[in-house]
Amino acid sequence: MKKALYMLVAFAVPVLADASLARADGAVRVQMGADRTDASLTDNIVVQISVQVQSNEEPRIEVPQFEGFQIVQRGMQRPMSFSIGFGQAAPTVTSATNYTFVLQPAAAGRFQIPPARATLGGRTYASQPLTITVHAGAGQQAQAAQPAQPGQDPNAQNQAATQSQAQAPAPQAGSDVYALDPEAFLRTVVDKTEPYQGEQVTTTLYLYTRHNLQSMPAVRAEPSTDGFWIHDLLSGNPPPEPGRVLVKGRAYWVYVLRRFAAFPLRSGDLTIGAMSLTISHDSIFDMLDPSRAQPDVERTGVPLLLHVKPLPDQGKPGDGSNVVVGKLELRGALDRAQAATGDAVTLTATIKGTGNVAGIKLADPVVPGVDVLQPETHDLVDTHDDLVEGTRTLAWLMVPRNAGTFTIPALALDTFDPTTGQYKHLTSTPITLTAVGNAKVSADAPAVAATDHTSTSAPADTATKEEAWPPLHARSALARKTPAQADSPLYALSLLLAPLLWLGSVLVPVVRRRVQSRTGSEERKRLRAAQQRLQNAEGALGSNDGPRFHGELAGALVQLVAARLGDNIAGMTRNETRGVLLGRGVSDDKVSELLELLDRCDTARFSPTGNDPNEMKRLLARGEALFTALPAPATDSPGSSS
Amino acid sequence: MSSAQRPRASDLAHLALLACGLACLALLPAGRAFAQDGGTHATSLEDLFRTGNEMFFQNDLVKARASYERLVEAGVDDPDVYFNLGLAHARLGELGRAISSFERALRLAPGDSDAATALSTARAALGKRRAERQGEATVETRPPLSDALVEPFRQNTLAVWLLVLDVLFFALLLLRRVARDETLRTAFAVAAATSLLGVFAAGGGLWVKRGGLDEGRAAIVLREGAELREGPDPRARARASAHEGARARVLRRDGAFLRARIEGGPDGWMQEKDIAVVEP
Repeated sequence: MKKALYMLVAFAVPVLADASLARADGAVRVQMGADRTDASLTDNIVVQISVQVQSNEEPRIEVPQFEGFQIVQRGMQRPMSFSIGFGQAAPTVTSATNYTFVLQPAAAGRFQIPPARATLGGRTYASQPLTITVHAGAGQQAQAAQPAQPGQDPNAQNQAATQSQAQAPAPQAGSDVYALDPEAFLRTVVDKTEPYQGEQVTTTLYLYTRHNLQSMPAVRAEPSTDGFWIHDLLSGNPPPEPGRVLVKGRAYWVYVLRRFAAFPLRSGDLTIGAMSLTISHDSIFDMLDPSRAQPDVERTGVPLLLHVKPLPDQGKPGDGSNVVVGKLELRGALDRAQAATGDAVTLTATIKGTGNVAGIKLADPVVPGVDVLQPETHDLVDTHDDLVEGTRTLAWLMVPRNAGTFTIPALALDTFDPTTGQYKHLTSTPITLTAVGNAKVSADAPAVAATDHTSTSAPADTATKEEAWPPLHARSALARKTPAQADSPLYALSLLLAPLLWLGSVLVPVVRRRVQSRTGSEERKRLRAAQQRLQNAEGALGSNDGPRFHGELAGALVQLVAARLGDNIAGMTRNETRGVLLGRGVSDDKVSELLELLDRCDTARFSPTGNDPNEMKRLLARGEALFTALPAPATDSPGSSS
Repeated sequence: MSSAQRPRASDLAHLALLACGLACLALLPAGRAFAQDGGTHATSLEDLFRTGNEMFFQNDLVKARASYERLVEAGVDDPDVYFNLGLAHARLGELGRAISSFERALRLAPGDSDAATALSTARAALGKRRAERQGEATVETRPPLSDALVEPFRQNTLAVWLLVLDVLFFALLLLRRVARDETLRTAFAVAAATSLLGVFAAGGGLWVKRGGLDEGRAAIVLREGAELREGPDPRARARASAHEGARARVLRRDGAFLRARIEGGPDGWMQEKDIAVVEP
């Protein structure tokens, strides 16, 4: 009992460890290689990218951009995934995704292809970058060799391929080719042997083995597909379950290794090459019983020869180089029928159907007066019942330069339907575009790519052509320079004018009042002086000082006239005084009274009888009466007194 | 206020007549500024403009630029000419010169949306170019608030508004003095206060527009890496360099050199071919 338990533990631990290791490892291996790194302008370069994963998850793969190259052919294969475990248990899945690109150089130079990347579980794995040198001039025809395995010396690989080709069987024509082997063999099956150029050939590669596989076979060489455009039909789909068949009395397990759609790119004899792989029969039980271990088995398939027919001449449009093989429909649409000049509209062509839609090209529409930019292309490729179908959309930006009505010609596409053997000329309907506005700038042609293709090259200043600039102004008043208003001296004066006028309106009345009040005070001063002398005269009367009395009284009367009328009559003759006072409007009787008083005062001053008090009293009274009798001048100053 | 204190009607009438006459005289240059220069241009100027546009449409940008530059040399100071010249510079990759031309166009026509769009496009393209070459580039920051507030207005417009509001303010004060009705006097006082605010606003805007807050004249750097030297001499030591399209103020000139201060940066002497003044 104990022994059985120990045996069980001895079996279980390594199995579980192996399984757990397989589950936890999740190793991703990304490799990129080319069959040559030195080529001429006429050579083709085959680049192969291989992503091998040991994980239940599928990695996200980023294929690098092949700047400086045109992709002539591309293909993708996904070998079958195998599970490791007992019975239904499948704790680990290993898989590989292989991309094959046939590139043609676009220019001479030194090009660096960035590494291919795969992301899994948050980690990114990258291959080494690839540097390819392209020489100008024609080169030798490319060797018809197997593409180099990633990471391997291409020369060595080519030698090995040459050697293996020498050992591999010759291509066989037919829809089903294989070399029967009691242990294991590879079989290639196609759905048609004489396709038209561009017609889909569905190809399946099978592996027949006597024993159930415990691990994925290691692929030594993928089948070559030179001259074909390849679309993988197993991509994204779970691998078919292996089947069990009898061949010539022997039972084999049958595994589907590859299934792809091959579109011949030219007519003539084309070969789908042979796959080479190594089948390992290692098992965990081998460590318990090493005698059970079996050696690895290497197998190479049989190349399959296809006779590709050219498109029939009858009804062929032109030289047939632009004919697309498949069942397709074409539609064209403009996002809007009216636009302002200089504004962009989008013409969209949609080609939908079966066939190699990714290879479809439409001629750029030519519309005089409208700039047409290079189109943006979007492909949506799918498969249905192993038939490749899809939609290709091309969108042109069109910018009308001038106002007017433009007719966008119908888009055209020539197709050939291999099932009916008929050509079709597909056209969209012409579309009218109306542009309004002023004449605008013409768009520039796309700039030629810089000759320096290294990734560190500086961008050209032609990048400003890519900016969306407003349209040119077609009209101008061509105005001349005018001085700024604020610089003019007259402007400053104008600004000061209004406050000065306002200030004047405020100050003028004030000044006038002040002037008037000054005139009134002079008058009052004189009047006070006159009254003072009158009082002096009263004082002289009291002291019976005749000469002083008469002098003061006369002075008071003169002061009175000066105060009232503003005239100084001192020193004037009596006739002159009379004339002045009458001219001032004083009445004759008052003038006479004044003059008589002045005469009496003058006479009495120097007369011995001038001291008569009664006479002096009478003169004083007459003088006081004259003070009130003489008219006061007109004044409206507040302090003036009449 | 007593009747003795109010100004007499005859005095006011005389003052009003005098004010009207002098105001008309003062506004005459303003009226001329508003009016388009509809005089007869030399045919050659229109031909030059037309030729420039035709060369532009034919994508001969060098000739187009030359035509527009000749118009400027001939004394044309038109926003459309500066705009087209800016486009020619921009399409030729001369983004610094393009920016200076667009700035001039905007100073003459602040409401020109095409010039504003082209200016921001040029600055963005310049920033992108600098980022591609140098790894990073500073996007131009927003102008000061004072500049942003007065940007939509022309200098002459602000000057005229200042004059009109100035006259209006004092006229309202005068009317308030002579008005007898208390309600009217209050209304005139409120209106006068409002117009006084307008006077301050227009006056302040005019002051900012004329560079009251900044010393010197506005300018744009034309060449990436243009040197700012310690003296007006090509042999003087370069103390700093300026980015193409950077705003600057030109303080004075000495021969072929201009003393400039880069906005938010250093100052120094620059060669006149490396910097363009955008305001007269």
